[in-house]
Amino acid sequence: MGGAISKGRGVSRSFHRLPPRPKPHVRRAILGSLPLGPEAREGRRAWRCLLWALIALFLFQIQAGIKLHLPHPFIRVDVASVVLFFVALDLGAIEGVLSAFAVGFVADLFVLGPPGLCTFLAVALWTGAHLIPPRAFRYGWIGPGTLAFVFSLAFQVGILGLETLNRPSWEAPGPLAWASVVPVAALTAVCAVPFRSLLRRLDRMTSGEGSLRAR
Amino acid sequence: MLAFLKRYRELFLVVVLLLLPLGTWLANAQRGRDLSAFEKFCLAATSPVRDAAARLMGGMLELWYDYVDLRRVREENKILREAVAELQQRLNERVEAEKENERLRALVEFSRSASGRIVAAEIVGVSPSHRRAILVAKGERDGVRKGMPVFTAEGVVGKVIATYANTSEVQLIIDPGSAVAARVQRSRARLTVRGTGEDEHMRLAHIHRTADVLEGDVIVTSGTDGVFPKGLVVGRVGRIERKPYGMELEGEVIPAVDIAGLEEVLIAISSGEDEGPTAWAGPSPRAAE
Repeated sequence: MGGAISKGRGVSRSFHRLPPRPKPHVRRAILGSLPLGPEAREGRRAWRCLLWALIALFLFQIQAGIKLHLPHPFIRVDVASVVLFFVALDLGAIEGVLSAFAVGFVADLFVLGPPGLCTFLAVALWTGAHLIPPRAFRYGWIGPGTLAFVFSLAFQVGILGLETLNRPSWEAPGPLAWASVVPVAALTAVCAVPFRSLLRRLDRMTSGEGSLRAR
Repeated sequence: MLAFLKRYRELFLVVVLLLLPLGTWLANAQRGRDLSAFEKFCLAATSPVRDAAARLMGGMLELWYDYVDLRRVREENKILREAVAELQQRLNERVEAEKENERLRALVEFSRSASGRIVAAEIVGVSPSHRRAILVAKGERDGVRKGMPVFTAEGVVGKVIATYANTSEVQLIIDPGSAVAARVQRSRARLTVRGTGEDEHMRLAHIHRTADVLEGDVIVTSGTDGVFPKGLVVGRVGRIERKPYGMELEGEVIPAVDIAGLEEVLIAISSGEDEGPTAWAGPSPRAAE
């Protein structure tokens, strides 16, 4: 202790000796292959996938109202990616995949493509998100921001790519739709990070565990 | 088997939730989209959110556009004010030019009725002393000599009292030292008009108290003083005071020329030093009105 004082260490050293809180990506189960541990009760919270879907539905409607006045194709937030970003990173396996399915279903209503397209992509994206290495979260808001950008980019490219593959050339998405992918993904990344914080707060409020649940 | 399913339930769930929409999409990829009753209900139930967002966004944009318009209007207002000021300046210049043209035209017409040589001169200065005199932009090089009469289309202005190379000094008829031999145009009664130093009036002098003079009579030069040609309008008779005593009549003469508003004058130049003042056909119709 004397040595610590002589080295000028802080008096709250004992606080730092506490074991670090587990990060969400550490506890996250990958396709059920990892033990669920404290998330064993997760199945009871599966009803909340309706809540996330409802939030996505509201967000889509809000965006539809805003787009009425700002019709420029580049000024748009990829709402599905915003919600999926939270769903993939912060929810457990069962609730997460059900929520991704529900959010994809809502996205299908607004994209008005063939039914199932956005739903499939949402679940696929959720699945892919579990391959993200933990170090992606080390750099403050830059890591999540980049992830959100990639999320949105992947979701949009997936929709446009599958639409292009399955439609005749005259019905396929045009160059403007492809050009809008990057600016829309950037705008989505800007919105996704703070919105994730809001949804995490809502998650804690509705989980019934309060602050005891370490995230 | 049950334990196996329980252990990998998440994996099965993910596979099912992936294959289900994939199959739906592949089955309907080439067909158009028809919303089901449930989907329509979802959209209709949440449409008030969309309307509220549209109204809010519309209101915010309207506020912004109003602000931008206000800024534009302010800038436009500034530009228009500058344009109006410039146009006003041009208008003033044009009005000024028209008035100058009118004055010069009158001077030219007036000078044509004189037999001698007449030069027009612009007033370039006013005497800073107690004397009522002006400086005109014509001098010895233009043939101007001391004692020459100065007038306008309206009437007598004064006489040249000093000459320089390019300018001349003119004593105004309202100067207290000025005296003009004159007659009443109507009755031909002889008199002298003296200056008082004031712009508005001069005074009658050397006129018998029984002379036929009435208020409003036109006073013209008599040509007997060797300076002013005969027949130039000096002014009108103003207030007359007939006292029961004394030899002479007292009264005032209102100058025909607006002394304070003078800008150009005419100088009658004699044809030779020995000749008398320039002969005059008579007062101009404008002055006699």
